[in-house]
Amino acid sequence: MPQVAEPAVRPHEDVGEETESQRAREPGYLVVCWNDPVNLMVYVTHVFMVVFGWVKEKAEQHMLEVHRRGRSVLLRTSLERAEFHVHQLQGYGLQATLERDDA
Amino acid sequence: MKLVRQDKAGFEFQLGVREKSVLCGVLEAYPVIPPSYHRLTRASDAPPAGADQALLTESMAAHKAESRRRLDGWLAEEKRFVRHGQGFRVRLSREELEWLLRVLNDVRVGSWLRLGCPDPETEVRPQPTRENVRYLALMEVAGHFEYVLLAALDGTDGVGWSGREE
Repeated sequence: MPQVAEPAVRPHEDVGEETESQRAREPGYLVVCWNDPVNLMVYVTHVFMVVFGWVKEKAEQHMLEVHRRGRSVLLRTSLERAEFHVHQLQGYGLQATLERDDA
Repeated sequence: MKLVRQDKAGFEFQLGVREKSVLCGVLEAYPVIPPSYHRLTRASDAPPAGADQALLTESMAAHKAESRRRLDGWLAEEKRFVRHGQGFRVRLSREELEWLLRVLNDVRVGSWLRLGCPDPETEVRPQPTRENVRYLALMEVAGHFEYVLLAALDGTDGVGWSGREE
């Protein structure tokens, strides 16, 4: 394999603030709600309606997915917004986390 | 605790004397969930830096402290519970009702944590000790009041049924 000589002066690597903020805006994060045996089903539905402005039917669908499958992906969004929603949902006592969307 | 009136200004509930005392007792327990309980992610290769987790913990602690201050003021309000017949009446705006719902849910979830996270499906039983046994009652009673408030918001019996005959 041919070798390439190292440049004497390395270009400035702009991996600092700009890359970080770009990453924060990329829609590559999932807001996930996890099942637990303590939050009331009607309460979980209510929280989804309040936080995301969903109609009851959609909120119930996600609540049932949490209940039956152990988790539900509520949103795919940027890191910034995912963090915002996780803070909101945890403020209501739900087990919500953000996970990187590797799909 | 029973919803007796609902209008644009909010909701009015009737409580018995003991019911009022139990409700105040549940609210006095707030907050029960420790701020360290809240996790930003479950991924082992956590994408957000530790600073983001610290921010969540701080944010939850600040939110609980503010809510506790508000609760102290709310409970101390002289005309909060007004004598009516054999019991009391309490009026709640929609915003107050939403806030109390969060307070009650904190008591319920926090009590569950103190009891060792019991789960009937996996047969993990509550682990009551002399220190935490009061959380058994707190968990159940907080849940009861949550149902009442959710039913008032939803116009149902609290478990999703409207009660209207088809």
